[in-house]
Amino acid sequence: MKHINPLMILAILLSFWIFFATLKSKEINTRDTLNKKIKVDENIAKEIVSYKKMWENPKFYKKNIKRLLRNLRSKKINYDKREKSNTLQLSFSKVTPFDAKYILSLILNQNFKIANLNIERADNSHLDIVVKVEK
Amino acid sequence: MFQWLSKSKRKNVLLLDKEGIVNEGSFVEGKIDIVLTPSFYWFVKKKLPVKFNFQVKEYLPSIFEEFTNTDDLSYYVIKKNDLSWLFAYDDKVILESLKKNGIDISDVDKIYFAQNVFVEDSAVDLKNGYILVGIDGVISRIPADFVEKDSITLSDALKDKVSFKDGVVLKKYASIVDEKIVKKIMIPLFLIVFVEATEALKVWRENKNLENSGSKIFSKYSLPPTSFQNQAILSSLKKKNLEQEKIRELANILFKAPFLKGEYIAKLNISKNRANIKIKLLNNLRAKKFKNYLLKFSDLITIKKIVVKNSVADIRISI
Repeated sequence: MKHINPLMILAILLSFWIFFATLKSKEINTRDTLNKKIKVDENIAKEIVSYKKMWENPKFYKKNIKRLLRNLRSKKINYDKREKSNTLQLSFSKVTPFDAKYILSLILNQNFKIANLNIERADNSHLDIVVKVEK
Repeated sequence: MFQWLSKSKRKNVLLLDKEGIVNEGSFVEGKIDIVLTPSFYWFVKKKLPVKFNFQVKEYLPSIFEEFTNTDDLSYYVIKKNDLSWLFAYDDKVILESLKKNGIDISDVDKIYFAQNVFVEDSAVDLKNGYILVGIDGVISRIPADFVEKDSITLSDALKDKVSFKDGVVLKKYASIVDEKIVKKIMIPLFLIVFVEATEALKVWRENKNLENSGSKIFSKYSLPPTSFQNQAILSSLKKKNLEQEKIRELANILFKAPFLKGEYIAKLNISKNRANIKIKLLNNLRAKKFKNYLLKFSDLITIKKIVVKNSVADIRISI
């Protein structure tokens, strides 16, 4: 009958203990890293969504342009609209400083992607404004 | 050292008796086999109702308890036809005897029982007042005076034997650690190993779930699958946001500029990263004040160029 050395079993148990303890600590580290990565990814995704909502939202753009033009018409401010596939250009000729202030506040307070803003003094009491907005 | 060789092919063999080493023959290098005389072990032949040797284990202490205290004994079982040959021995006693006789345990290969080495019909003279003789199939150690039979020497008894069967290995740790203590340590250690293994498995499963949920984050927001792609998208969106914020802030700075009566912006052109401004001032000296005003916002804008001519300041700004 073979005798099994208890010291050998003890050594095996100790090896298993060390193995599983190492494995556990490795897995805990992995879990922490994964949790951090998930948090970071979640934040990235949320930030992208919020920025996209602000600057890359076609529905939002259409709605705001409609509102802007309606407001301009209601104030009887004449404008010239030139639309390209990616941009929209609004030109205002010889507007009073009061109207100019109103136009600029309408455009700058909304999330229109302004590609170019040009203001020029037409005469002593009027301004020419050209705004190019990305769609 | 006590070394004895009966045949050149065989290892060194020593016969260990309570009285000391039975030493004959010559020395060769290498491990030693020890043959124990019956003074070191108890032997019982029995017919037991078991099929395998390991089944005998539970009966062994009760079989030997009539001869000695069985607490620290080790056992060895050989199946011989219908009979079980049962040996009981005390590792500590053998180890101490080896030490006393100057034999290092690390030099010992295996330990054999005289019962398995010597033949029943010969009497072997140990030359220490005792003789090994077979009585009813059991090799016994009895005083030489009690035996009338002619005895042979140890060399003669072993001369035809090249190797021995059924050797045991001594529990060498016995002198260092008590087996009971080792066994007591094993139970909590086993529990610790079990708990550690369970926890490791639990965390491993959690990680698998985290990996799955991690891979689904971007698809939940209808975004490309990798962090790298999304970081690139985010940085381009942040850049766009910053550009638009700067355009608005510059417009705000200019419209809130401290103009005097008769001063005005003659021309303003703002694009994504630069601006050109023409300002009508009251005189050329006012340009310095206006420049100082713009320099307050140096964290946002950089004045690239400023030219003043006929009370008109032509300013180029990068944003």
